[in-house]
Amino acid sequence: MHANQSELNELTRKANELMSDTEDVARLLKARLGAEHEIVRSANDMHESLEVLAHELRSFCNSANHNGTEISEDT
Amino acid sequence: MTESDFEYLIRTLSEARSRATELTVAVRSRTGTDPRLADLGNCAVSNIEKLLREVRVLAVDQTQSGTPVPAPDPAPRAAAVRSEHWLQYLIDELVGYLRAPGEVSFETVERLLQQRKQAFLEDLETARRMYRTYPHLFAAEISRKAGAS
Repeated sequence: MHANQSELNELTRKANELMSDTEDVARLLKARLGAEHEIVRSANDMHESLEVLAHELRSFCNSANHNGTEISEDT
Repeated sequence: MTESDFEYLIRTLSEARSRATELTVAVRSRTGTDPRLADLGNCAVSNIEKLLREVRVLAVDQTQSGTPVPAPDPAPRAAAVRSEHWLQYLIDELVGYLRAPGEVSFETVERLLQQRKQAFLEDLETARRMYRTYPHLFAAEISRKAGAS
């Protein structure tokens, strides 16, 4: 791994921020066009992919943090 | 959908595309042991680009179909749809790869260039359709720029 914990935290923060900043996109399209519109499904796909990215980054970050703690406890 | 809706969507998605691209490059360079994370980032960028294209096409289609779209001030819309230069995206991506040790190869650069070319051609087609539909908006934007300089 090439990153330290603070860099991973920063990437996770950016992913969360990006996810929340685009939340209204799907909401607006759904309100204007209805839930069944094709473009709303694309918006949901986009939001879901950002959610997955943020979630996986959080997990990676937590895992790296856990490993780092174990290492420091062992030494 | 109103004109301000489209303006908001296009601006938000354009910014999101830039931020997601930057994030993906950073993720790839910092989590080299887990390429799946960078793949998730690429997937998110693709989904944002796809939605952005669909929103632009919808804006054109809505006007062509005669649905009334209130347009009190056309200048902000023209500013919102002004496309970012593909070369800047490519350079940003390449710089990101360059910072990741051992990640840059001719194949990687060729692939990135091909992706940018594909995205550019798709955006160009959308822009042409928008120009045919909203010529007055582009004229207003050119006048505004000329006045500013």
